[in-house]
Amino acid sequence: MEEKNYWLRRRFSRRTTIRGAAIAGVGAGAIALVGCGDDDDTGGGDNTKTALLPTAGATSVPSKTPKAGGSFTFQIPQPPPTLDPYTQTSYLNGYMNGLSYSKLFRFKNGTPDTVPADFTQEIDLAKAMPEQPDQLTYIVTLKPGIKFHNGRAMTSEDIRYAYDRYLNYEKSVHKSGLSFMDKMETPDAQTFKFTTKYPYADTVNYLGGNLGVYISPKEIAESADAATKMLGSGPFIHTEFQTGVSLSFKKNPDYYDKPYPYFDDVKVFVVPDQAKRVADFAAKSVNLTWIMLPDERDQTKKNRPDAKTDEQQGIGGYIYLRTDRPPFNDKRVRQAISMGLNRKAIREAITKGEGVPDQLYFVGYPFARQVKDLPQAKYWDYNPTEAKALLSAAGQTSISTTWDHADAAVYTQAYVDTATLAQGQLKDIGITIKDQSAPYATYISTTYQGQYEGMGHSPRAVAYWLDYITERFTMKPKRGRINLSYVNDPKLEDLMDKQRQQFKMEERIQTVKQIEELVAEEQYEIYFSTDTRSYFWDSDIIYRPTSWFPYTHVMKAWRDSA
Amino acid sequence: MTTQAASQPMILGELRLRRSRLKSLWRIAQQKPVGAVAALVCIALILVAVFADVLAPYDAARQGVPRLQAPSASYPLGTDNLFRDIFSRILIGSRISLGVGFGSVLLGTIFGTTLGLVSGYFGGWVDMVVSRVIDVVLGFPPLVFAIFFLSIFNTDRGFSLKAFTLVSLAIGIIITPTTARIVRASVLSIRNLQYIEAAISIGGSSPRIMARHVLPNVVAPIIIIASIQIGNAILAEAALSFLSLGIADASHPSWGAMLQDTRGVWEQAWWTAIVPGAAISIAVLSFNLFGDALRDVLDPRLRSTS
Repeated sequence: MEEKNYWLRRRFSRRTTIRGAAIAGVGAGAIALVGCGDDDDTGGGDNTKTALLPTAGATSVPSKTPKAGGSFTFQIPQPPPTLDPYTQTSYLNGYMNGLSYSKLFRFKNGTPDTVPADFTQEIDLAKAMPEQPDQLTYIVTLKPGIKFHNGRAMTSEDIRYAYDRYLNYEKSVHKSGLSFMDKMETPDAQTFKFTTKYPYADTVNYLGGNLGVYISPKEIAESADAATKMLGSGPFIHTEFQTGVSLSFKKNPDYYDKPYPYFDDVKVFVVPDQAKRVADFAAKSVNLTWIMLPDERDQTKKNRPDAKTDEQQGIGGYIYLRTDRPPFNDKRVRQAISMGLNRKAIREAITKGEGVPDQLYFVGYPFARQVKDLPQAKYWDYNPTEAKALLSAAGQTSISTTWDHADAAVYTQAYVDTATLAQGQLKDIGITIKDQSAPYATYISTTYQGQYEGMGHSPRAVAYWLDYITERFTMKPKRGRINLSYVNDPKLEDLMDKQRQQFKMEERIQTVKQIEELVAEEQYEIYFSTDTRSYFWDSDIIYRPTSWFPYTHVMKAWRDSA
Repeated sequence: MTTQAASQPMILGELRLRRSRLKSLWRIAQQKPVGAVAALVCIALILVAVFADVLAPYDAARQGVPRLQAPSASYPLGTDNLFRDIFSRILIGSRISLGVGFGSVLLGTIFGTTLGLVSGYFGGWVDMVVSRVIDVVLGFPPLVFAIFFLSIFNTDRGFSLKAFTLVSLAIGIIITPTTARIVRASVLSIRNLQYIEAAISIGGSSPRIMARHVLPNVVAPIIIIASIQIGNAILAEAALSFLSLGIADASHPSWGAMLQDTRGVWEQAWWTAIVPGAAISIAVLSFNLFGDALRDVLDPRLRSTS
């Protein structure tokens, strides 16, 4: 007994414990160094495969000292429908606008040391974050010496002009998003003061986003060239737009936020064909590409083992439907549609089985929940029997409707295939669908503006401000920009009003969770599964992709061999 | 009794005539075996298109078969990436491919014949205007013209009669100039013959002369060019569908759209590319060979040579 105690004492003596801890610490440190070493060398890329989960936890990567010079090329799948920021909400529009135009605030991410889904705001045109004498008033001072690309100095009047145009121009598509803004004043050339109609917790996040925030001056906004030229104050000067071919940019030497940008030239190729985009990157014709399909991702990894890569969770597409009229005004019909979708089969056909059922409004946020954690998770289960029972209870055993969507050019063949598969599955529960495909430009300016009859289908965007849900579901004072389902639910409106004015994050999150559950119960939008976005770029480029909309990544990227 | 006696030789005569026609056909088939086989394939394709619903084991849009199965006894032409039977889709897809093929040739032949007749018959400034218009249309690359046309006019989304008509019209317009030129040349060669001059001299109206005396004498080249153009029209429809400018959807497949739908899986599943491609090739080849054989048979100069 005593001997046994002796050996136990030997094994766990103080010195042994310290020695063990030291070895473990060195080991862990070595592993961490190895892990960071690659990223340090490469300047980007979270190589752990957390792609199907929210990316807030993605590791940050230490950066080197940036070098200026060199060029950068990448591809977009379609030309932006217009370059006029006032009249479009297309992500392609936002992407290109972000290169040439500035805004009051911007996303902090886009550098290797910031995680892609970090939606923290930093100053852009503003000299500092806004002063807030009260919850309704914001005073923004502009940085000194800001010039538009034509040489004219920017004043606070240009800021007022832009927001006024976003709010009041008849063709503006950002009226609902900016409806929180009230009075605007310009006490002096450097100061822009505005008030909000109600305490709005997302004011800065919205103004640093990409919808209705780019400061496009009168010279270009009211000219005949607004759709094809950009004249901003941003990091790159727009030099050429060859419709359907490419957009060219050169470094703005007078950019107010030195040392950005690093690249001398940026060229954006319009390549509608996904296979060509992949092939161009394999042939090293472009420096950056992003891919959404696992097959193409795996092929690219094989073709370009030298390239750096980063995988991020994407968000799936969703079905929107006219909830303001029969048969989709009955929630049982919407629930039946969700239960009639075999998401697993769709994933197997499209993404090699990758992905999970989706309802993630807030990808990247620490509180983001997956469908399985929702009390309403059963509506994501494939259950045709229950779906038919719900339809029968709703008195709708046979429904004939339409399904509008864009063609494969921008959103890829996978998006069209998803529609085809879903339509086939819904036919099995008694819903016959007429498929209506349209070119992207037509789709984005008609269906995506709410002009459709039965159902529609679109990819989803990452919400970088919490009040994003309002735009999806509000009818106050008019239909939200992307309230494509024509949701008009007083209970939901109350919750949305409530969260909008909650400045304490914990309280706001509780309200947001209530909203998520209500929307899940009502199935106002019917979600497919998440996807994975894989970014690939040349090994000598120090770059970190961002989660979709924060388009600061090009400005902040640089070439190590420049 | 008298009537019966009179009708009997008539029936016999008809039988003899039919027999002699069959004999002629058989003789032609022996002379042109390739053309005869092509004609049989064309007939088979048309029958398949007509009875596709009956012949296809599954609905074109039906999912539920295993994904990307190679051709087997259960699925003779394999399955595609969206859990659908390719054999069924090929059969049903023949409807759009052949339907647009025939529809566009019908429209192109009507337009081309009318233009060629008018141009050749009237000559002068009419001929000059029509010929220049034809030159302008010929100046466009055919597919670019069709894409341009459909981008402007085809506002319908998915399969509809309007979309079907517009696609047929787009391809029909591409076909028109060739037909018009051939008809014009044929009309010019008979325009000054004595029987036409005689018809004019007795006061026959121009439309009547064109319809009764000119058109019947240019039918042979019209038939020949139409039969050859069917193949081209099928190919054009496939190209437009491949570019997502056709009228196909999940329930109404076309061979070109089938290629587009499966483009991402060709490397994994060869049959998804080969089968629709082969269907297009067989149809185009058959109609072209049939058209060639028809030309040889109907063209008296070639007939005498052979």
